Amino acid sequence: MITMDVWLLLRILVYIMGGVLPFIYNYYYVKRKVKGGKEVNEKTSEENSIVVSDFTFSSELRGMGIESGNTTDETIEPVTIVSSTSIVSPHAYDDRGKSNPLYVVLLIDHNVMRNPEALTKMVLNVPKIVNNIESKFNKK
Amino acid sequence: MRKFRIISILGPGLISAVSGLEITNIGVFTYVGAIYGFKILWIIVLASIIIALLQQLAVEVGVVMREGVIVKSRKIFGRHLTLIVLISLFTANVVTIAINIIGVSYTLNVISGIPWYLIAPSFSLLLFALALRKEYAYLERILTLLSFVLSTYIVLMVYYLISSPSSITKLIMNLIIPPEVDMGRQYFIDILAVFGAAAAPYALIFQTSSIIMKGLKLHEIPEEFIDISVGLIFTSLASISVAVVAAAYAPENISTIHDMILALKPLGIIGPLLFCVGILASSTLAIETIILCNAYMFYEYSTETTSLKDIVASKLYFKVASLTILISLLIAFAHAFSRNIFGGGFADLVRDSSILISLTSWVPALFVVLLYWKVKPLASSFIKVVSALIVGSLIVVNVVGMLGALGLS
Repeated sequence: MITMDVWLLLRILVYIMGGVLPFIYNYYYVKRKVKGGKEVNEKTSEENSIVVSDFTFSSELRGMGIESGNTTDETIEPVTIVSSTSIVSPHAYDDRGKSNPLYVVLLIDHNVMRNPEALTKMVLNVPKIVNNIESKFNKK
Repeated sequence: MRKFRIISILGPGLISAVSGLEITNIGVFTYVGAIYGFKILWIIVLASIIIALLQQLAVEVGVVMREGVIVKSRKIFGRHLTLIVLISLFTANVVTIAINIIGVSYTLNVISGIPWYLIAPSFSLLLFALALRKEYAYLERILTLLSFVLSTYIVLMVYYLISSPSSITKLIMNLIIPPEVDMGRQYFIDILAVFGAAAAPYALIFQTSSIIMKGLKLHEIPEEFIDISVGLIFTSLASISVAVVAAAYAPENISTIHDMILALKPLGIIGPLLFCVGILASSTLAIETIILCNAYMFYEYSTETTSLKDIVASKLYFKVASLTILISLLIAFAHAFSRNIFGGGFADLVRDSSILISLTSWVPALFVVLLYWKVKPLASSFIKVVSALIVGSLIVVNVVGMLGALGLS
């Protein structure tokens, strides 16, 4: 025979265990879990600076082309890296919650580089392009 | 900066919670508030917390899987099983729209005297015209602001608590400690109605898709959870205020929409006017959102998750919008006339609808939980078990409530 006090305890237990506790617990659990993801993001920012330095390298190549006198229209100029970014795909997570970032590098040819409008349009489209690549990757 | 962040969340949080109070919530919470008084408050809060927890899971599913619930279910569980989610959601949605059409028609009938069966088709035509609008953001803002007049319930609750200080302790005690009630057949049916009114199953599907479109990142999930928590606080506050105001001012034998409007009697002649404006705006807002959700569901079932703009521009949208409004209008007429023949007022109509919404809403909840079980690395074993228990309990409450409603227990 269950006494009324036990019923009361049961009701409070249902209230706390069935709603309040899981709701709060899930918040802190996810917050702790994604902290690892944030560290990885910070790391990729550092890595980005290495990739961005490729821009200088590419510019140097262009400079070399100029120095060697290959400046005629027929010459194929080296492609220039104008923007790079990295994404952390949720699917790249391993069992320990660590992730392997993906690097996306945009290569833009000299025709676009010479057209400021086209270049601006392309650079502004970078986030969209990254999202598309990311969603295509996730589908696989 | 933190203060500004809090204000920037609290403002829209309060507005969206109040504008989310459509006729199903107001009808059911007024009804249970008038019958049970403060004793039903803890169930309203518990139902809101459970819905908020399911919303948390839906966010995680959206961020990690990058696909809507319908698309992902189709790919994992197959077309046939996903069709069950689609049918149950569509049923819940058209029933919600139908009761909102009845609610608005009955309210305008009380105010203007025009028969409700003439108002209902006119209102449906208006809804259809609004649904076909390409630019919706401006209208949405106006409707949200107009529905904010329903915050009158919160003001009236504060007024009641100030004028009757002893009820503050009573209110807090009833919120923290579940009170003793006579757990009869009627109680289970009413619990079912409360769950149905609080549920809004379409929100779960919508939330996942909007998270994908926003491109939310993993580290942004806790911020989204804070938004959900703020939403939970305000939704609970708005729902509780309706029940408290009903407990304080509405007649105990609540039956018609006029009885429900009577809960606002301390406001005198302005009360019915505010109720009318608020219900008209919030119901229109809810119906337009549900129509979009239906289009979203069918689009996801046939193709992929995409932006709202693409869906509204698609041919499917026109078909789904017209079909949804037509079926809802037919249900509204069938339901209202059958209650006229077999007896029962507006309170019974709202309760019937909420029970049906509750009966169908556990299906999408189950699929969200099943998808959550596959979310790596964010899924916690504890939450996996608890969410399974919650959906299990929802099914049990629905079965017991349904048996009670049929007079079998």
